[in-house]
Amino acid sequence: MIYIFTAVYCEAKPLIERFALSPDGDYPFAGFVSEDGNIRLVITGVGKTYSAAAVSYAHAKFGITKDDFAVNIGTCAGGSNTGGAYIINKVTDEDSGRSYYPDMLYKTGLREHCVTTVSDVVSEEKAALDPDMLWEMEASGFSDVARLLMPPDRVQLIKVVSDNGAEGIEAISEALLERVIRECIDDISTAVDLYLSIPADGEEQAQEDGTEDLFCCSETMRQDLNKLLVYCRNSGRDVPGIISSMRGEGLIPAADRKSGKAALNEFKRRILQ
Amino acid sequence: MNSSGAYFNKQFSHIYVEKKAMDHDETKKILARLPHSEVILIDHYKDIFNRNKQRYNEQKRSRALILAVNGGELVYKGAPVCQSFGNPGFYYTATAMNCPFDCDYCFLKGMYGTANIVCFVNFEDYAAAVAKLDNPYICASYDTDIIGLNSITGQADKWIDFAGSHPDILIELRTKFSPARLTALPNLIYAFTLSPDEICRRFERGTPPLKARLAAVKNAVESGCVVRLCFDPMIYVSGWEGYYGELVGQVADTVGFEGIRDVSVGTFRISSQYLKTMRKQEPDSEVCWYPFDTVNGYAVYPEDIDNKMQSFMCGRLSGYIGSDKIWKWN
Ligand code: SF4
Repeated sequence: MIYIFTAVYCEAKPLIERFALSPDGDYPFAGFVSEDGNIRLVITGVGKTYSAAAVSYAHAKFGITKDDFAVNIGTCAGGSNTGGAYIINKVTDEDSGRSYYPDMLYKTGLREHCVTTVSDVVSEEKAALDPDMLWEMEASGFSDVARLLMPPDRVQLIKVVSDNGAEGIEAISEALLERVIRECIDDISTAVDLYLSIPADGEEQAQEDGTEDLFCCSETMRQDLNKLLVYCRNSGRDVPGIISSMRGEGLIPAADRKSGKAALNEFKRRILQ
Repeated sequence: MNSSGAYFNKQFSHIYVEKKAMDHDETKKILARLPHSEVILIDHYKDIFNRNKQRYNEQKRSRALILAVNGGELVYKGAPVCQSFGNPGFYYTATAMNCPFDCDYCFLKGMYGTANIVCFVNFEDYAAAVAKLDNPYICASYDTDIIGLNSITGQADKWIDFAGSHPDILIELRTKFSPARLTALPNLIYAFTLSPDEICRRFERGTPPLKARLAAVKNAVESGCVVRLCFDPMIYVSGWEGYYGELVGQVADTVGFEGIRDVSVGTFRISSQYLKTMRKQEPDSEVCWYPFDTVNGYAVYPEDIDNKMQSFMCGRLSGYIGSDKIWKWN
């Protein structure tokens, strides 16, 4: 599952159309969801505080897991050497000087760049100081919260250059932001499709229903038994065979905790034979 | 690599470089060896290496390299679970942290929360720190496989050169790899970890197979190098006697034990704390999920199994090499 966070509706609109998202609910941040529920989009509002709050809220509301992706997609100002869509490999917050580094594991096909998050629209003077930098207003807030909640390979950012920071805020119209995202929508959706196709990490799952009852387990015994069953699964041990012979010998089901402990020791002994 | 390999960037597609390491000669050499990698400047290696919630199993498919300057401790006293081979001044040092290979049982997975590899470029500081020690025995490849990484970092070469210019300092380079450079020096030990083919195949992903390791051992012996064989860690699996017995026979047949300085024998053991982390990272591992006993904070095989395995191996080896040359870990 993928959670997309954009600052404003005009940035979200091309994504909403591409992924056929429908409005979803009335939580504080406007939300959209795909028919199969695999893509959610949250409009955070402008600035790092709103962006951070939206991630936190979505995490709590939707129960985002470690296998889900949180992706901040938005526009940025860039120097004259920049243009199009970038996957971000370093986010620096201008106010605190702190940096965040997403894991760059996946072949999205996008070019890479670092980005600086500023608290106000970037001025011509500032942009001129570092003509290779990308500047925007949400990435550090998004990253600050997302990195606490999710693995670094699942926190990703895609930024599209909308202007060179020289024309000032008057030049940045909603139409411009929508247009630049729309121009890169194929590149962005290739990355989104890739994220959606990455399989989830395998979860440890070995407890066989009812096995713990056979040993009249305490909580500690239950944990030991579960670890032992993981070992059996991983090493291909014949648990049903051992259980059935212990049943046949009347060792299980155990009548009480004491005989359960003895039976569990015997079970372990047979496994390690 | 499984079918999901198609989603991942190449190994070392990204190199994070500390600002203070950027102008270092070693950094320039390493970057020149990886010309297509994306280079990202960082303040401190821990900003990448120590991040929260990193996932070894995802990262290992596209490991990042981190180039840094180590301003902290450079040489450590040997740990009690590591063998000193009778050397009183036993130390180890880590010019690199983490390994390009992926052994199921590797303690590095328990120690570090990441698959990314740090390479400290200030070798001269390590060399100075080691040179100050009194008659030391230095293991230079504990927190990595320094020979396995040498084609990128060049650090094994540096230790070999250091050994050449410091004849009083005994250096051990431990590896599962085939060294590209073999230099015969009385104070330089090439220590090869050997495991049965079955164990290499099942639990030592990415490492050369036994046949290649035996060829490397043979090569080293024939080049006049000081060679140690490490049958450590021995891994408990069904039929282990057969596998380890065959291994000793294969060494005897292909290399022989005449040119071997000494051998080490040890069963798998690990800090219980590390084991907890490893189990999270290796949910399907037979080795990690073995129901170990805990003794003094270490997860070990039950005493009877441990004794049986070590005795068996020492028994087999003593048919070929003097027992004064066989070192057990406990
Ligand atoms: S070769 Fe050694 S250091 Fe590398 S993964 Fe295997 S056990 Fe760990």
